[in-house]
Amino acid sequence: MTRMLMVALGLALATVGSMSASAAPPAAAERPAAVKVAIDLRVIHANQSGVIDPAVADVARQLGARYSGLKLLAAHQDQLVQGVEQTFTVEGNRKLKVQLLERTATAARVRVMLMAGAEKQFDTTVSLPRNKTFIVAGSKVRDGVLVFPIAVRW
Amino acid sequence: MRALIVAELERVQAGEPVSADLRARLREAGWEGDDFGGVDPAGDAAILLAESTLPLAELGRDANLADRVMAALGSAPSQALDLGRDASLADGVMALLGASPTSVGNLGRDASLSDGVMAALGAAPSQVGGLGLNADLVQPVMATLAAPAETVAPVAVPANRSLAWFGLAAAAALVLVGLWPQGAGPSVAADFALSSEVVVEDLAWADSVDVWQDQGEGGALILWVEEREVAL
Repeated sequence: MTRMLMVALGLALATVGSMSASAAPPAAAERPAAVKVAIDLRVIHANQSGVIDPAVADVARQLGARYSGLKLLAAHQDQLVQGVEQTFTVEGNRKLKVQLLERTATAARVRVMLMAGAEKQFDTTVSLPRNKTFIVAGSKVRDGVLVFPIAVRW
Repeated sequence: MRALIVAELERVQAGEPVSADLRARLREAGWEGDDFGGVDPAGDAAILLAESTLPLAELGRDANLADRVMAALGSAPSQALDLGRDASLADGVMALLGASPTSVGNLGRDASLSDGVMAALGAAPSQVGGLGLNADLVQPVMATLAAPAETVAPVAVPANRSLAWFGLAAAAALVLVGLWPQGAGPSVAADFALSSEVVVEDLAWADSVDVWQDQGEGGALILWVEEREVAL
């Protein structure tokens, strides 16, 4: 933790300092910047336990009365670089593969695939507005299902 | 959010206690007193921000800089964290930072240290690429480290504090701009895309599942995948 804090400090200081400088290095200015977005993926177990994890209360409001209990199992934060597939391993031998196809100032097109073992369960492309979240849900585990709120920000 | 950062920095620079909001965010991020030897991290972060002349403190005086910092961090929110995940690269940079004889503020003045950090970054091009580090960020970082002293604000180091606390202060700023991972604690409510705002195309699925598009009670798009039950 401390190491991460110090590394974060180093980059934060350097970034601030670089922005204070009068001009960017020529090499960086000439290189086209990679198109990327930040992705937040939450892995939630929806069940009938009657207990709502406060961390996912926003999701509970969307699911309504379908499930009385929600528990946050994991939260992944990463970035998507255009054209590069990112794989998130989740519960139940599942993998969620996400790829940024296109990003404009106001919207992004993201390909989403859900794998169960070697089987591709579904494959789709979602176009959504900037900084918005959509939900993939339904993979059955134990007495409930998995819910994946996926936020794409830039 | 910028207004929140500015207000927070103005508060601590004026000698007022750190706000309950910052304390709450630090705790949401998993920072408990026990993690830091019983020391209150929020309080110490606030003291450091108030005492130091960290460039971050400029956020409170330069609104344009605050916007630029947020834009830069927002363009690469996970880069610093990715660097921290790679043990060898992180250890190399950490060792160099730890080898600094005086303070982080000397990063821009100490040519040998700058060269060392640059070497550490440059010596691991595959790692940098594999981590998804933005070369456009690495270049300015390297340039900044090599820049003359006057381009880097001096940092006052209290004699009785370790460098780790400056990391904590920086991390506190990251928490304030919402870029630090929030773990499994309470999180800010997501801004859900309404079904009417989303286009779902090329939807295909396996024979073992049914897939359909639904709308949550709050109007959010939900893609339901119904499948056979499996064990966790």
